[in-house]
Amino acid sequence: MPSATEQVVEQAQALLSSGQAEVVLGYQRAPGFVLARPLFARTPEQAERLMLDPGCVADLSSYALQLPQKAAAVVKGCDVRSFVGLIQEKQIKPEGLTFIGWNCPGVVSERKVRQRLGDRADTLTAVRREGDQMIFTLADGEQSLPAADVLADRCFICKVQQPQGVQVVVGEPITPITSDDPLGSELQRLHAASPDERRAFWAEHFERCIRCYACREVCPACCCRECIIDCTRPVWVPRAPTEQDNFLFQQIRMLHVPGYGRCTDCGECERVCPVNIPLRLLTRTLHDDIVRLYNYRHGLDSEAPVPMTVYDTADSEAHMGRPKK
Amino acid sequence: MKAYQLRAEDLAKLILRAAAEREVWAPVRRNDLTLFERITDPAQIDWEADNVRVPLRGLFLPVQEALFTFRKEGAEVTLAAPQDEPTLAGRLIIGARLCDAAALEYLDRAFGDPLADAPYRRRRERDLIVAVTCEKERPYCFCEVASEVLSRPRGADWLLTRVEDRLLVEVLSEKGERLAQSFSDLLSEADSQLLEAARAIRVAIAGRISNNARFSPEGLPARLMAAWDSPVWQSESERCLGCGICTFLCPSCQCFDICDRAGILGGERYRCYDTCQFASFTKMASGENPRPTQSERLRNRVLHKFAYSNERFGATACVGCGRCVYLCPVGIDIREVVEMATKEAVPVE
Repeated sequence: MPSATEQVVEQAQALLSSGQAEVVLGYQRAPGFVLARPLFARTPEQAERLMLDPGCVADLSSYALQLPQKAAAVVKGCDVRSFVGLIQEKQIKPEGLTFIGWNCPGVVSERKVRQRLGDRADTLTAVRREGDQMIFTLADGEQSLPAADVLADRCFICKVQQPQGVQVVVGEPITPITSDDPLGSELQRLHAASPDERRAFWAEHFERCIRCYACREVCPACCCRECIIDCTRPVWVPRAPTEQDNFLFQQIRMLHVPGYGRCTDCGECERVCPVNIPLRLLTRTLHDDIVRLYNYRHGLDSEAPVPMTVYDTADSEAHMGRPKK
Repeated sequence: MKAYQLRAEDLAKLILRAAAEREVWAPVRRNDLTLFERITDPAQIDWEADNVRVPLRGLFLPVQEALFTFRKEGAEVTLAAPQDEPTLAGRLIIGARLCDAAALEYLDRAFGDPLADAPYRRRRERDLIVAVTCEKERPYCFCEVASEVLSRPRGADWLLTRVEDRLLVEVLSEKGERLAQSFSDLLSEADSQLLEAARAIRVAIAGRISNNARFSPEGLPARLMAAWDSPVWQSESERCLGCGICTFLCPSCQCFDICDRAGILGGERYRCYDTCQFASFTKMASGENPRPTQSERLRNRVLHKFAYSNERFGATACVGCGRCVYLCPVGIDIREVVEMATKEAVPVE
C-alpha cells in the first residue's frame, strides 16, 4: 500500500499532466519548520515535493479565492468544510475544483510539540502517527510521544476525519484520538465568570494585540473585498492598537464570522496569532451558540443557506429577552 | 571602552538597586510567550527563554503613541504635547539580545539627524540598555552573517557575558560608563582572561550559526538589485497571507502611519505601525497602487532590508534575529528568498 504522500504526489501529477488542474495546492516540508507549509504545484516536477503528515495543519481554503478556474486542493475533512462554506456563500465555484481528500490522522499543535521536544523540534523533518503515538523524526533519531499530548485541540472533537464529498481520497482511515474537548473546562470557567472578570481576562490578552491582522488574513471566511477595519472614510475602528480598539476589531470579526454562523471552527486564527491570544475561546463560544440556536454547522452542505441570511419566524428569540405585555 | 567584572550572584543586587531609582524592564514569560515587562524583582526575569517575541524596538518605537492632542473651544484650537510617560528617569532595560540592540543602532540612523524623531530620540537618550550574550543559538539565527552582530556588538550601553560564576560587563557607550560608575562597589576591573573567554563564546556562536544564513553577504545589495525581475518574488509570495507579522515583529522595521482620533471637541494625532506587506500601504487616493500584488511587496521587504538600507544609511537593516522566519504562518523564509533570488542574478555593471 503506497503511503499518503506517495498517493498525493501520484494524484497531483495525474491532474496536472491531464490538464484537469493548472495548479495543485498542497503541502511541502521545509527545513527548520515544525509544520508543513503550503505549496502551489504547477508542474509534475513541482508536485514531487508534495507530502502529507500530521504537520499539515494549515487550512488551505485561505487561498481559495486566488485559485484559477481549474485547480485542485489537498484537503482534510475540516478543510472541506471551509471550502464548502465558501461555495455556500457563492465566493467560489465548485466547477473545475478538484479535492484530493486525505483520511486525516489528526494534526499536531506546534506549541505542544515545542513544549515537549524543546529545541529538538527545530530539527524535525517528518512526523507520522502509529496507533496512539506520534513519531517525530529528529536529527538525533526518532522520538515517540502520545498523540493525545501533541494533537491540535480541535482534533479531539473532530467529526469529519474522513473527508466527505471529495473526488479523490488518499491515505488509510485511522481511528481518531478522541477525548473531552480540551477547551471545555476553560470555556466553562469563562462562561461562569462575571462580565467584569471576563472583561479583565480579555483586556489582558488584547493588550498584546499588534494588529498584524494575521487572524483575519488566514481566516477562510474573512473574504470581504474591503474589510471594515481598513476603511478610512470614515474610520470605524482607529488603527492604533489600543487594548479597547483591538478588542473592538476582534468583536467585529467575531460577529461577522462565527456570529453569522460562518465559522467552521478550524482554529487557524488562534494558531497564527504571534502573541498567543486564545481566539478559539471566542470562535467556539459563538460557533456553539449557532449550533444551539439554529442547529446549524457551516460547510457541511453546499446548498444550505447560512442562518443569518434567512428570515424565519420560528427562529429562537431567547437572546432578545421576553417582550413586555 | 572599558570592561568590568561582576560576580554573577551580585547581578540581582545590581538590578534591585537600579529598580529603586528607575523602571527596570526585562524578559518575562507568561502565556507561553516572553515579552519585555516592567519588573520589581529580579526573580521575575526569564534568562532561559528565547529572545522576546516583540523586539526591543517596541520599547522605543511603540506600536502606537500620541504625537499631540488638540482641543477646540469656540473658535480657538489648542494643541498640547502628549502626557509624557512616567519614566522621566529613564528605564533600565536588561536582557536584550545583541541582534535587537544592533537593530536600534540601525534605527538611530533612520530616526536621527537630519530629521530627528523627538519621541524616539528622547527614549534613546534617557533609557539604558543592558544586552546579554546568547548562551545558545537557534537554527533561525543568522545575526553574524546578516549584520556582524556578534563581532561588532552595538546599540546597547552594556553587554553582559556570563563566564561560569562571573559576568563580564563590556561598556559600549558613555551612558554605560556613567552607569558603571554608579555601581563601582560591585564592579572591578576585568582581567584579560575573562575578556578572552567572553570573546571566545561569541566567536563560537558565530561559527555554529555561520551556515544558518544560506546566503553570502558579499556584494548582496548589488546582487539583489540585479534580481529585480526574478520570478522568485512571485513564486515565494504566492502563499503569503499579506499579514503584518514579519514586519511588525521585525526589530529594525520603521514604518508608521499617522492618523487622528477625534471627537466633536478634540482628539489626538497618533502614529501606529504600518507595513509594506499590507495592500493599503502604497495605495493612493486615486486608487492607483504601485505595488499591486504581494510579489512587489515581498520584493520591497527584502530589498529594504538588504539593499535600500545600505544605500540610504550605510548599513544592512536585517540583523538576522530570525523572527520573520519562525513566526511566518506559511513558512516564508527570507534567507531562502534571498538565496533563490540571487542564485542566478548577475549584478549589472
